[in-house]
Formats: sequence, C-alpha cells, structure tokens
Amino acid sequence: MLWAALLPDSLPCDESRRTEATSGLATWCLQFTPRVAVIEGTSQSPAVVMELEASARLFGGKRRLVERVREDSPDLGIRQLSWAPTSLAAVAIARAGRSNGFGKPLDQLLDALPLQTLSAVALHRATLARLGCQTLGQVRALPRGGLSRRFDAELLAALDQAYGLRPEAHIWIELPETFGAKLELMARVELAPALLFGARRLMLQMSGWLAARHCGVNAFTLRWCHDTMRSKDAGDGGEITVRTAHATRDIEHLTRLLAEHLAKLQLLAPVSDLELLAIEVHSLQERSQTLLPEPQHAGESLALVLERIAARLGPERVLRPVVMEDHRIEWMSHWQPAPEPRPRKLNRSVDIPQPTFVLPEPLKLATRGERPLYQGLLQLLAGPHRVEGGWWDRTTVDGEQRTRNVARDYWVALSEHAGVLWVFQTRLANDQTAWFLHGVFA
Amino acid sequence: MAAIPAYAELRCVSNFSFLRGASQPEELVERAKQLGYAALAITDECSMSGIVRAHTAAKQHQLKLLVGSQFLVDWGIASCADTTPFDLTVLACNLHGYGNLCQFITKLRRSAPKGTYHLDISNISGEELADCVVLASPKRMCEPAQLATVAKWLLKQFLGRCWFGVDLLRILTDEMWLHRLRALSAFSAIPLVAAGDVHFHVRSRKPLQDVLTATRVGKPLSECGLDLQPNSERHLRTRLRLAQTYPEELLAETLNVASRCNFHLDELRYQYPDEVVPAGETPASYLRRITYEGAGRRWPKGMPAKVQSQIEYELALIGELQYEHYFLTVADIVAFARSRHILCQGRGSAANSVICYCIGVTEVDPARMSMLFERFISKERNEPPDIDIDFEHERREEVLQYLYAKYGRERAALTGVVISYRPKSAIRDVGKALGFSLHTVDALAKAHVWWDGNELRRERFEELGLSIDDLQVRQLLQLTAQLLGFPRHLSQHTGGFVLTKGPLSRMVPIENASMAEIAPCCSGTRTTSMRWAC
Repeated sequence: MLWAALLPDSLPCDESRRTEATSGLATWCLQFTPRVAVIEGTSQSPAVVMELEASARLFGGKRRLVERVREDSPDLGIRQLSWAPTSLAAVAIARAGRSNGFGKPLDQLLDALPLQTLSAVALHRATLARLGCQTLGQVRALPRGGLSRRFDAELLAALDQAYGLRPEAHIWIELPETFGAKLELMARVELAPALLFGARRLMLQMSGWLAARHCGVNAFTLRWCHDTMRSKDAGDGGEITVRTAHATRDIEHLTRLLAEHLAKLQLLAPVSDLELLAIEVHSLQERSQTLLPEPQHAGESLALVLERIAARLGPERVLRPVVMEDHRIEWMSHWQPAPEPRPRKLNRSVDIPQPTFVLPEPLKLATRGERPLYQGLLQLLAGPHRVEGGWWDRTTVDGEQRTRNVARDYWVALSEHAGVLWVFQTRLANDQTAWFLHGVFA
Repeated sequence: MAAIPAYAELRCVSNFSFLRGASQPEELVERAKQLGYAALAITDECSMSGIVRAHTAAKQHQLKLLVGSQFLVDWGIASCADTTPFDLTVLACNLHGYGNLCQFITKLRRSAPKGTYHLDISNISGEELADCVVLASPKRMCEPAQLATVAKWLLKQFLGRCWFGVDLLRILTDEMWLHRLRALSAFSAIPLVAAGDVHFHVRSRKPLQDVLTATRVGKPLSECGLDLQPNSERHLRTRLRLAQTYPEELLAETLNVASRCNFHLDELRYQYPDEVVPAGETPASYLRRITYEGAGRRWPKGMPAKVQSQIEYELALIGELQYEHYFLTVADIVAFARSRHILCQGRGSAANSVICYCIGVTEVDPARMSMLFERFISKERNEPPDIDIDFEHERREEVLQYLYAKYGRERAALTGVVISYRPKSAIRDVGKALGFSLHTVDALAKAHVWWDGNELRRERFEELGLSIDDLQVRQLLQLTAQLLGFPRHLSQHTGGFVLTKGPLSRMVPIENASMAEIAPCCSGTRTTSMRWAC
C-alpha cells in the first residue's frame, strides 16, 4: 500500500474555515485516487491521506506519481508530504518532519518517532512520559495487557494500525457536485495582480476537482471580500468571471487568463478572502498517451492564443467568421467575437450556385428600359430565384422597429466588362421595382 | 390573347398534415374556387383527416375535390447511390381506390408509433393501390441515374397510372430541373404533370408556415435557417402565374389526371353490422319481436292500447328510415351490459321512445312523461338518431372488449378526435418560435385572459414588461390569431365507437392509440353509430 499524508500549513484558527481548507486539499487529492480521507479533521493538526497503490500505473509508475504530487504541493500550501505503507504511519512520519516511510522497515522507522506523532498516543503523553516512554517503540515494548487495562483501547488500536497489524477503516471523501473553494489570505492584498498567488492555490484545487470528474471548465468566477477595515464606499468585495472557448483544466492556461484579467483590475480596498467557483463545466475528451508525439499538439493551440489576445484587447476586437444557415445571402456568414462558443457544425448549404464575392451593401443599378445596367447592359442568364424571409429578424433603426425581411428575385447576369454577376430585382415603395447588384461570381 | 389554361392542383397539404400545412381545408377549397381551378386535391401526409372538411366546403363551393394522400418513400434496404427518397402522391380514382388507400394508410400507421409513419419502398405494390393514380416528385437536383431508378420502379408498379409531378417554385434551377425531367419523360414515357406542392392558400400565410416549421424543428425561427422554405411560392398560385411558369402541356396534363379521379366522398355509405340479426329474421321483424317481448316484460298485465299504437308508429318510422340495425346494435350492447351487471342507462331524447323503453335502453315509461317521439327521430330532420348511454366508468373497458371480440378488430374502433390549438398552446408555440424567453412565454400563456374578447388589454402586457406596440408582440398576436383552431394532433374520443359491416379500414384510416385503435376524425360526421358519455 502506498499512502501519502499531506499536512497543510498555517491553518486558520476558526474551525469551519479549517475544515474548508482541508476539504479543498482533499478535493485536489481526488484527481489521483478516489481513496482520500481526512484524519482528525476537527483537531488542531488535521491531515489528508490518500492511498495511491492502484493509481500508480495510470500516472506512469510510483516515481512519476510521487514527483507529480510533490510538484504541486508548495503551491497548495502543504507543509509536509510523507509516504508510508499505512495511513497513520504516513501521518506520524509527516508530523515528525520526515517524508520517506519506505527507507527502512516500518517498525524501525516508527519505533524511533516521538509520542506526539500519533494522536491516540499523544493523549496519554504525560502518563507515558512518567513511565519513561519517549518514543513509540518504548510504548510498544510495554506489555499489551497492562497497556490496554491502563489506557484506553484506542491507543493500542492506533499503534496496531500504524504498524500495519490491524486493518484501518476510513470514511472516504466524496467528490462534491459543484466546485467552490475559499481561501483566507495570509496578508491583506492591495494590488489585484497579487491576488494571483492565492487564486492559483484555489485553481489547483479546481483543476484537481475537474480531473477527478473528467471535465474541463468553460467559465469560472473569482470573488474577493474586502478587508473589514475598508472604507464604507468600497463595498463588500467584487468578482470577475473568466471564460474560455474550449473547456480546459490546464492550470497554466487558466492562470495566464486570470492574470490578464487581473492586470486590468483595480481593487477598491485591501482584500482578505478569496473564493473560486466553477460556473460552466463540460466533460473533456481525454487524450491517450502516444508513443510518438502528435504533430498538431507541438505548439500552443490557436484557440488558447486567440483567447489570450482577446483577454488583452477586449473580446470585440478579435472576431471570427461564422457560417450560418440562412436563405438570405448577406446573413449566410457573419463575424462574432472569437471567445464566444462556435455554433454547431453545419452540413447543409443551399444547393444553388452562390457568388464568390458579396457586396457589403447591395448596389442599386441604373436601368435602360426594363434591363439593368452595370458597366454596360446586363444580359440575364438564369433565374429568377425568389428569396423571401427574415420577417422574424427584428432590428431597431433610428428608434423604429423593423424587420430585415427581404423579397427578391435573383438572377445570374452577364456583363460584358464585369463578368458574371448576381443581381436581384425587388419591389420598393409605391409599386416601383429596382435592380441591385449583390455579388460577383469569380 | 389566348385564354389562360385551366389547371387542377394535384398536390396540396392542409393543416391536417400537422406542423406542415398552414391553411384550413376550407380556406384552400375556397381559394381554389376563387382562382378558377378545375379541381383541387387534398393530399395530406399519410392522412385523410382533412378531406371531410374539404368535402363539405367543396360541395358548398361546387369545386371538384380529389381525395388522396402523400408519402415520403424511403428506399430502405434497397438504397444505394442510384436511389433517392421521393414524395409519392396517391389519388383515389373511385370508391375502391379510396378503400385501398385507406387500408394502405392504416397499414402504415398501425406499424409505426402513434403519429408517425415510415414507408419503405418494398411495402408498396401496384395491386395494393389499385384504382389509384400516383405522382412521384423526386427531390430537386437528384442525378439522372437516380431519376431513372424511380422511373423504372414506377413503370413496374403503376404502369399507365403514374406521372412525375413537376414543382417549379421560382428557384434558380427550375429550368434545368424541367429539362432533366423532360429527358427522363422521353426516356421512360412517364408523362410530366404540374404540381405545386401547396402548403398554404395565400402567400401571406408564409410567416405562419415558418412558425409551424420552427415548432416542428423545435428551434426559434432565427436558428431554423434552411429548414424554412426559401420563398412563399408554395401557395395556390393564380392561373396567370402558373401559365407563365409552366409549359402549357404540363398544365393540360393536370386536367387529364383530375379526370381519372372520380371519387366522391358521398359515395361512401355507412353500413350497419349484420351480426345483430339472427338467421331467418329480417332486421324489421327481429326488432318487432324483441320490442314486443320487452313490452311483455314491462307491462305484465298487458300493455295499454295507447302504447301499442305508439310502438307501431315508431316501428313504421324506424322501418321507413331504415334505422333497425342501429336499435338492434344498441339493444345488443345493453343486453350484454345487463348480463354482466354493468350499470348502464340511456339518457337524452331516447327516453321519448317506447321502443327504447321496451328493449331496455331506457328505464322511464315515456307514456308517463308525454314527450314527443319526434324529438328523437323525425323524417324531416333526416339525421341519424342519437342514443346516449352512460356506462359505469370502471367497467367501460369490458364493454369495449366485448365489442372488439364480437366484431373483430377490423370492424370496430374508437373514434378519433382532433385536438386543436387553444389560446394557451398557440401562444406557447408562436412565442417560442419568435424567440421570447421561456419565462415570458409561460407568463403570457398563463395570463392569456387578455385573449378573451377582441379587445387586447394593454395593462396585461405591461404587467409582463411587454409593450403592445413592440414589433415582436404584434407579430405574436397576429400569428397566434391565425394559429388558433388549427388541428394540432389526433387523440381518441372519450366514448365514441365505430362498428361497420365490412372492414372499417376501407372507410377511414385507423391508427394506433394507447389502448385501442382510432379511426381519425372522418368518422365524426358520417359513421356515428352510438356514443357513450362517461
């Protein structure tokens, strides 16, 4: 069994907040294994333990897994990370300030540890000290019958469990349905970019939660509470919501996005508390590990770059063309802000030839007799093609509501000088008709 | 100037093709007459539900009505690169053809979940649809090879009674399409005929048709895109427009097709089941016998002379109008119910009849109430008598099962009933299509009190944060008003039951209901034989 024990550092004194901190840590742990438990959650020194034996292969072996856990631990605010064959042993080793519980046989390691490393033993520390016991090994050397009569059964049970002589039972932490985590900052923060440090810790937890759910986040909100010493007009706090086009749990990308947003932000008062909420969560396609690196994943993905640029310049300034289904040619495509989700893929298009270039505005044509003119008299080749629709497409022009309804007879026309054109005839007010040029076939 | 050629529209759906047609059958008939059409075919999709109303209107306006239906044909297992789904319009030539078509629809409807159908090409055979003519309308822009496959199939199944329906709907490819079909016609000797694929009677119904499309697709209009029809040409076009659009011979051919179809809905006669009359008796003699037997029970000490003369008078009138079967059928059902101790009780005007009292349908001696028998049946009124019988509702099912067992599933069915748009449902569907938020749609539908009466209450809208002058709201009001009363789907009547002499499916199409079969609304006007009120 491969047990890891994580000791959080600098816990708040408030009990409910302490529980929040440990459960946030447990959520992060859930990305590695479902067997995560909190030990002595209500005491002064709680610990989060997880059992990783079964997950080792998924993460590429024990060594890789251990490295991966160790990598993130400073950002999460973990004081000590330890490994041992049993959970209590891992906790005891961690409290003793060591990390490796596999270097020597377990009983040798544990025998040398002081009494306060195991809580059940630490309770009777004073009595045991008077008996001359300083280490766990000395307690264990006492006769068992006497121990159980003199002290409670829990002491013996805890010792046995730590040494692996008795099975351990844990209440596993369950993954919450929604993600929300809070953090009390160690110091009052006055500049927005400095919030990033605390936010990153919360985002790590979120990324753990997402990984455990096989999901990515499309939008998350960072809320902050102003310090109680604030001026009255500063308000309670504020929030920003960060959105991404593709669901992701890539912590680097999310951090970068948040950093861009925070860079533009001004705080009204010093901030004491942070809260992170995942608003839109979508399941994420997992990519399998391949032997050969796939060429398209070599660089940074385009979507991520666009998103960062949009975050910097404003969403209205990075646009993406979108193809729409519509019978009206000017609405068959339009531009939308790049970070907005793309409409679903369309397979249908009108089954008649469409001009290659469309004029931004239809150009009214002069006529000679009944026939339209554009660089010479036009010869109508094919038609008519009646397009009607758009009565549902409402818009407001000069405070007056109108529809973008059209009723046009399109023709393919040939001009001697301008080539093949897409022109239409439409009815104007007072029963007049007019010709317009709308597109050019290349 | 040459006269405008005559025209008969051979392909037209009414709003009984749910969420597709955008005009009432009556409106279509009236408009066709106005435009001087020679005939109009009502061909709802795998349904006959629209024809009764169209028939009534056609009689009133003296327009020739062709009865038919259209289907989307799928190649099923035979599909390959050379096949394409196409629309098949089937028109009944005579009573026999009508029966065949009804049976065909029944077959399709019964083998599919309620409200749907699926037609595989292997399920169609020429013999099954004898005495019908068919129009095939392949999808626009399919390849010549695909057209040839359709032509071969048509020739094999419907030699001499098949056409290609040409719909020229002001699309850029109209000329090319006509050219391609002409080549096909020359190659296969299947004549071409003009057919408009009509969905609404006037151009201005297009917005409503768009709303129906949006409801069918389940998206707001702004997202429907190409699901909407590109233009409003699928209406009953003026004959001048048709003459400008179609070659003359295609228009003339429509009259040819119409002349082949001579079925008139009035030919359809309801025939009562025969079982109720024992061998060796005529209906009249048997009714007389059970009446007098009943009278013996009712008046054990001998009936008064007045009653006897009343019985004779009623029997004579019933005999004259040939309603004996009806009375015998009711007597049979009541006798069954009594034998099972199912409570039942006739009510209404039947209580005026001594015969009903004698045969046990009613329990009140009409002589004591001195009411007019003519309220029940009269020669002048010339409409079938109506005997309402209340059954104990927990045991109604037993009676239904008895009827199924006695007459067989081929000859007995529950009547269908058309569920129409009510203000609430109309507002809901139009509102969703126009892109109102779900919350607003709900609020509007709940507060639809403003609809009652013609005056719209401005305050009602303002309560919901809407203005009556808003374009979107005006569109909602206008379209909702148009949609009101449109049929929405078929359901089953709470108590109506149809019994016939021959197979019922030859008179009206039958489809599945949750518990039994439904004969769609056709039966409402023609074959009412009895009613239960429960």
